[in-house]
Amino acid sequence: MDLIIESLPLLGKGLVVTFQLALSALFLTTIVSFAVGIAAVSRFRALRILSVIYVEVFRDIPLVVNLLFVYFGAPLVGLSLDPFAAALVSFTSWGSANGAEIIRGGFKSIPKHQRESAVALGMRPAETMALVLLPQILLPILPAFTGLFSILIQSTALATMVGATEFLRTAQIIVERTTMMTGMSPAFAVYGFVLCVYFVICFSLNLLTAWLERRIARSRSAHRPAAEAPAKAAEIKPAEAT
Amino acid sequence: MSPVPLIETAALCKEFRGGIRALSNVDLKVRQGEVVVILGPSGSGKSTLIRCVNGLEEITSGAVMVGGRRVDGAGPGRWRQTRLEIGMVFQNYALFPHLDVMRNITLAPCRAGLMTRAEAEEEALRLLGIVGLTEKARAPVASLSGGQQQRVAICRALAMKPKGMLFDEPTSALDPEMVGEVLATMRRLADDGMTMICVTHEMGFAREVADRVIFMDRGEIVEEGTPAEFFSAPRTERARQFLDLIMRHDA
Repeated sequence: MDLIIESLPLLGKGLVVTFQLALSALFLTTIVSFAVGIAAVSRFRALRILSVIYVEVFRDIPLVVNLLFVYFGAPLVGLSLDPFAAALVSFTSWGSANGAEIIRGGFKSIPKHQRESAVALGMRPAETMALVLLPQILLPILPAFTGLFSILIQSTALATMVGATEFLRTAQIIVERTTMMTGMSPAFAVYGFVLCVYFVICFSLNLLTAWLERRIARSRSAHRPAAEAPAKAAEIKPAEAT
Repeated sequence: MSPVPLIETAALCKEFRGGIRALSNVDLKVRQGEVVVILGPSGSGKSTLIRCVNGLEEITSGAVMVGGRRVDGAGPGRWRQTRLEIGMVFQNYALFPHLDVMRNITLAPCRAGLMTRAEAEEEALRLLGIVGLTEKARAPVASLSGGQQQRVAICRALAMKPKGMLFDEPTSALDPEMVGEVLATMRRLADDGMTMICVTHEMGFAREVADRVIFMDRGEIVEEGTPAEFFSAPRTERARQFLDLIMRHDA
């Protein structure tokens, strides 16, 4: 316990790096997700195909393999990425492939008459997207997206593998150094502390997600025409029972 | 006799992917101010025909003219211009659920630069007044009944000040008690001289409001004439069979 309190400044620094990595990854992931997700429903076939390739490639490669490949592969194409940058590229590509798929699903759930009626009113494709289609998917995709955020935050621990001194790596260093100096391994206590911190961060995010989901469900059923409301209520009940 | 028809198709053919022929050689002329009702069994190409008129479906061959100007094959800009001139009302209203009634109506005319937001809102209130929904201006779309939503959808199309209107089975998705209010709105529009092409199964509306009835079957115009001619003395066997089925169903 003393060791953890003593090491708090160091662990704090690691946690700051983790937060930097997570927040930049979430930010870039969101932007790229929308770009790739919108491309997936584009009028242009070439864009749609590129989007599918992007999504499939990055979703079908384990994130660890992606990370190692980016970090060790980048120098081969003349790029030298530090561990932080390599991790960021890797997390963003993986995260945005998954995010794009969520967004594409959101678009697919919009009835085709929405797009058609906007087009029939003489709206341009960009206006149709920005004013009619996008606003309709934002709420429905929110829970899935915060779920992705939670996984991405957990995944930042993988950056340890390429030597980024984020939270887990810092803890690792403390464990190794203390073991060498005292001959006793504090691994259980230190990693236990690390575990708790990750848990608290992601659990808070999950609580937020659950709260959002409930809010959305409520606002939707409130706006639903009376005829459809009972069906919705039946859907919700089993979920609440569990 | 009259000048150029407002809407015209010539030898219009439409084939869907997989070689399914939806329309073959459809010649249609709709004069300014005319109300044309298209009847026919499902799958006869009625909806496809009016969707070709504003470019929601790409035509395979033939021509589409609006206001005497060829619009097919001239790129997205020309189609957009056409859609500003010809309004469309869909079977399932397709109002934008994230916007209130007012914004549903004002969005497109504002974006197209036809009027300022204030002008558009004034126009929206005028149109909502005509269809009896003034008090719903700020209501969320989902709080309206189907019939109310469809009347708002008609207002939305009219706010563009179109020269003509296409109706694609506007009452087919409605509960029976709401059909009347939508038909009344359409009837009023017809009385005001709007050029209209209506795909519908409402025989009463066709009989009383249409200037001309067109009967389609298997992608072709089989018969056309005044409602009086068509309903009392159909000339073709296919039309007779169709009317026979409808009448038996109604009785």
